Amino acid sequence: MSPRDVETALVAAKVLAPVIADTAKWLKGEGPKPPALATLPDELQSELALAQAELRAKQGG
Amino acid sequence: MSIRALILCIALATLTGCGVFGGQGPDTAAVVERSAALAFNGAAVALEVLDAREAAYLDTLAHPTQADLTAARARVARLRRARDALAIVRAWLAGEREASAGPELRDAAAALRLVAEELKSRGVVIPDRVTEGLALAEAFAKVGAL
Repeated sequence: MSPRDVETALVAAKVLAPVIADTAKWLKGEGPKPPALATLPDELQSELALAQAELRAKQGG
Repeated sequence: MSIRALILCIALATLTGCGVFGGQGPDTAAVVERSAALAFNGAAVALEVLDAREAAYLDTLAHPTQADLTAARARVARLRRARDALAIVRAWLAGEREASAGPELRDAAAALRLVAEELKSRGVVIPDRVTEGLALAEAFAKVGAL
């Protein structure tokens, strides 16, 4: 196991701990259901920004 | 991340999060599913932040060169690939289990990692929550059971 693996595992464990605790409480009927899934954007901001950058390059060139 | 590292990660999270000493552990399948959802959410946050940082970076280029545009096209294509892969993972987590989500999560994390590293090399600040989200996604993608 590399140092980066250990570091990644520690970061993941730190972030996971409260979620697992919340899930355990929810399963025991002692807490609210954990947060729902995040939504994904239909359009990316960067696609629009890239189109504008291409336009600037064309106008400048 | 190796399987041993992942086991360490889950063990640490369980020990610190569930009061395993003297407490009754939660249902394993539910914990795995919620943890996978967390990994998805982490990757989704990374996508959102990196997309915004990419757009902001491109806006700073008053007169982009062809080299700038070529590199930007590659990064934006990776962001799009990550978004489409995460859509499959989201569908899996919502109950559509026809496709395997593990490889999609791995592909999304790899694409986002490359975008993050390249933006960083161009002086763009990458927040810690991106690094943490990607670490989670990469860890769970290694399980192969999703």
